[in-house]
Amino acid sequence: MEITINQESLLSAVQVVSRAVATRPTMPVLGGIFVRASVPDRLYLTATDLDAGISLVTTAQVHRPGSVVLPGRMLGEAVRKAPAGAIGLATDPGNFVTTMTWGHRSSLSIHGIEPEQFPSLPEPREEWGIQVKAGELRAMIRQTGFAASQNESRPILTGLLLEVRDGKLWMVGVDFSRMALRTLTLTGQSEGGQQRAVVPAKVMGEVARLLSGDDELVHVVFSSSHAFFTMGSITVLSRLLEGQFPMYAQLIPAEAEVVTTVGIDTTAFLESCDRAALVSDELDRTVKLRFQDDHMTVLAATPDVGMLTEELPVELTGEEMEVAFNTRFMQDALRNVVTERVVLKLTGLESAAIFSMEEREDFTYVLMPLKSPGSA
Amino acid sequence: MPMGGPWRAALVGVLPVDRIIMHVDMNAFFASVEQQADPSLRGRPVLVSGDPQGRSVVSAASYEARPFGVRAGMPLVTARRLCPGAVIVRARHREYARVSHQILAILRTYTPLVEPYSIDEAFLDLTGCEKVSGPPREAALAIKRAIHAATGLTCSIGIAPNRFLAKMASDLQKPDGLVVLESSDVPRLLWPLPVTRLFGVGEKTAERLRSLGIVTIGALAQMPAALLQQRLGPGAGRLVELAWGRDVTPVESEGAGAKSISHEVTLPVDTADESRLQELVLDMSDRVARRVRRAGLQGRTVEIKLRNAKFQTIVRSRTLDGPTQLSEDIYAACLKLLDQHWDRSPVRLVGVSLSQLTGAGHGQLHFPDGRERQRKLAAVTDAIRERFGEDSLVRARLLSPRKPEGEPS
Repeated sequence: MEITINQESLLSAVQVVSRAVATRPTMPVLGGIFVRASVPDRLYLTATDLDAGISLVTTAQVHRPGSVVLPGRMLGEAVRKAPAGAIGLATDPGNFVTTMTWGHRSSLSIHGIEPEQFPSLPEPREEWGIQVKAGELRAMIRQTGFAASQNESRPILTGLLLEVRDGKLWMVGVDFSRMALRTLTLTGQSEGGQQRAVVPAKVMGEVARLLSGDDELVHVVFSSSHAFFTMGSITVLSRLLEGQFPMYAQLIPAEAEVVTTVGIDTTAFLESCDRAALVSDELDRTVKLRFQDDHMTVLAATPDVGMLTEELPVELTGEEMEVAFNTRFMQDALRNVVTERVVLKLTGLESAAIFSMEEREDFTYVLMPLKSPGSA
Repeated sequence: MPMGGPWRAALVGVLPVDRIIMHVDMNAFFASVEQQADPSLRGRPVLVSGDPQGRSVVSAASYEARPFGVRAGMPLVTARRLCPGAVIVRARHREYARVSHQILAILRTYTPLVEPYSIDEAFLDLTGCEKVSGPPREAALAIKRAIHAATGLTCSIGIAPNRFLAKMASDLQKPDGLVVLESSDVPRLLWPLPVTRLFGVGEKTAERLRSLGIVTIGALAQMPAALLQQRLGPGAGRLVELAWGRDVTPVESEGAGAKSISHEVTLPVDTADESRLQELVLDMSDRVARRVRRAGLQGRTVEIKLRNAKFQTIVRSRTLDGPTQLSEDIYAACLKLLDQHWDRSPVRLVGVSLSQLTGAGHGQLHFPDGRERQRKLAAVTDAIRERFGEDSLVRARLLSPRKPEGEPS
């Protein structure tokens, strides 16, 4: 392999695929980036940790096609530290030593690995698929990803559910005590059938990071074992999580269970939670919300640390109520509410509450309260 | 509250802020528990004693017995003479411990800082919690109601800026009292009392104080500390502090410091039999879970301890998604740990422990997980074991008839 490429474009390409390089590779080749040059002028980069992978295509002057696996971190650093302008990459097909050249008679050689050792990534064998605008997909991932579990004890919960049903895409993240659900009406594809897949939330986060622009279409394709997200020249692929995803619809309290409905200014509520976080207890981050007449009192206190009392105006219908939540769990939701007001529906002291956006039906956050003092 | 409003919050961590300490003292605890258990005893003088037939002493006397001059610690013979109509009941310490744990669990829902002081007393630090648990007096009333609802028992509660005053306060109104003491109440309420009422002044110290002409707490307060220390030793300075109602001893909850509930057993014969090991772990998971529930706690980290024939010990732990009180969760974690870390060599000691303990009365609620049946089952088996003893129920798996190498079941 022998190519000439601009340093900036190689650097940005390497940085994209580097995200998929195995952090603790089980075999050396997985710590590497697969580099392949083909005529005319195509340079492919791929990295994978066997569960997920990123591949990318960019342009380069290809003098001699070929391929090599280069250690990911080393390649990234070498390219980053190379001067701007044209650089050359040439691989010795005998020992895979790859030499980067720049300027006048300057070079850096890196020991590569033979490309045959690199695992071949699964082909996008489409069983079903969707097309979503980049901006929409990014928002959906942000609005649900935070609720997925961080704990590996139930692996299925570390994923986001993507489900196509009733002409909509449903994206759901569920933890042991909270759930975030976002829907999007899909245009131009509504073949009756229902499809679902669970993709690791970490990979979805990477997809959201890599999405640029708002209106470009992202093609999402699912096989029985993998998901493929193609956005422009980049493809992110991931193994699907196997297992029984919770029956998420059952976690949403029915309208009849709601005893108190409150409308609150989103920003004021979030800022109040931010302040409450300063003095809430380390363990549960307890914040008490007391709803009375036309206001909500926000209370948080830790002995020897401090306390917070705040009063915010609210529109309240239903019963007066006092309930405690983990501040962090409220902050997570409120940061993702894009409407001026948030609607909070309470069903009781020890049962789930619903956070939703005013006059929008596409976002639902269900949060279990903290068992509060005195209610034992 | 001596200092209120924004000032209080602003001063926290800067100046020593008055604390809100509560002392909860159960009234005639043992006797009242017996009266609750047997309605025929209610309204009658009841004496609880370790051995009603023998020459023991009175462990507790109900309020009905007290006008006769009967007090705890008195020989039973004397008590019988003073109050011939009293019903004498054999003490059931296990039952008192159970009720005591039940009460502590209630107290822990108001503040994490609960210090059990004896089987029938506890200190609570409610500082900073008043906005959450309500004003101290209301929190006290709520506690009294909750304890009464759960156990049928009454208590006296004292609220004050420190432990000493809180304990004095609970002592001022019995039974079923609620007294709030401020530092400024000390001269009026405490100074006329005899020094023997001071927490920490026994017969001997009282005698020596009397020899110095000090009979009341007020007189003690007026003594120069240096002079008193000269006569009574270095500890006497603290007595003068107490006489002024000053005490800086903190309330320390059980949770302070490394805290875990564990159970371990050394086998009479080393075993490398996996299923036998699993049975032992199951039994210990049960016991640990039961103790955790009894203490009103829940825990998040499960630890297993294995010691082999060469006395090499390994301890491996696993943190759960959330705190648990159920033996099923503890056992499941133990099985994974066994699977990962046991090298199949013969084991001479097995231990199971649960740590990262928190009060079970508060914490993050989870989505319904269909485990209500397991929780109910645990509550029922607990109740049966409380009543009929630990061995009244045994898991079928642990009834295994296999007893290789003469191991006891």
